[in-house]
Amino acid sequence: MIQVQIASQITPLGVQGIRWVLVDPTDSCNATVPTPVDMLTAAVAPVEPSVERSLLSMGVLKLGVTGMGLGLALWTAQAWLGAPTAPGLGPTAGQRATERAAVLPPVPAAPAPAPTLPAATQPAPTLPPDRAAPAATVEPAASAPAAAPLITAELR
Amino acid sequence: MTDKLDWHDEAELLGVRVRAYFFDPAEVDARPDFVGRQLPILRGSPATLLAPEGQRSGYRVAALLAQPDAVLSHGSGLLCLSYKGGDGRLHEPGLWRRQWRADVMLQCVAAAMAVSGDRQQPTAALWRGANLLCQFDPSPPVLECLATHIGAAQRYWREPLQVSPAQLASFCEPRLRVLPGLAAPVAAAV
Repeated sequence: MIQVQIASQITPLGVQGIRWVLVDPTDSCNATVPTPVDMLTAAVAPVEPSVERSLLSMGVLKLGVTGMGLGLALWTAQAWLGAPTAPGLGPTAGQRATERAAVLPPVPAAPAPAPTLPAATQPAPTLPPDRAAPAATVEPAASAPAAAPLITAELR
Repeated sequence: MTDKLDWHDEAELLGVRVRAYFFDPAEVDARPDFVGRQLPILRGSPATLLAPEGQRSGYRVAALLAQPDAVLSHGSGLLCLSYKGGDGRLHEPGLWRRQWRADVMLQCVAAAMAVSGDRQQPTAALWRGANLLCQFDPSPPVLECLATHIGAAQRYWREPLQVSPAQLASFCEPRLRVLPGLAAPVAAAV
């Protein structure tokens, strides 16, 4: 211990009234905090096999816990929010169509609309003579006299 | 020459008895000798500088390293004087307690501790402002706080080799403010 004496008064000829206090010379961070050289030495020091095994098992354990947590988070998010919709994350178009078909009720097939083609480009149906329908009638629409004529053919 | 010095005022600030001496800076700053100029209350005393004026030496106790502005031999003891700290403003005789800076005061005490521990002589702590000379008489709790927190301050400031009086004072001031009986200043006119 180092003694320190602080004078409490000054006189014209000197000092008076000494106050004493002790200072611990070992009260220094040098004794407890490792120097950078020490830390570097500790960093490159060889690791004992038991310590290495322990570190390895700890790493595996951490990885497993992290994976479980991630999986649980993904499952929770999917259960609450549904499948991901961001591009690249969701199912492909074919998968979506399959899922939709499986989910949606079957829609009755609507009759195919009659082909609406210009008369000049519409080829005549080629049917056997005995099953040929009567000649198609070409009539302009009464409500739209200026519209293009429609060719209606009925196929059996 | 009487045995007592003619201090103008005295107050207890943060556990330190502060004695104040006011002077006219225009007159005092023109004095040729160092003691008459920097320690006007000791004008004509046998105090002598340990090192040439303006040359600062280092004093160390444990990890506390101080470089006070001047150290003088005065009788059987030493005077540790700081005169470059502070903000340089004038102190009003009636308002100097409100203008007081505890950090400057604790720095001076810490520097005196380093000088005393290094030289193993009783040392008085003094501070000279623009128009005010102060002598500090720290109470035992203040000395104890400063003496026992050198290593902690060093770790706090991440100083691997030493800690300065300013750093130690800054570290200890909030601790002293929460000590019972030290925060409330008690002033007494001389």
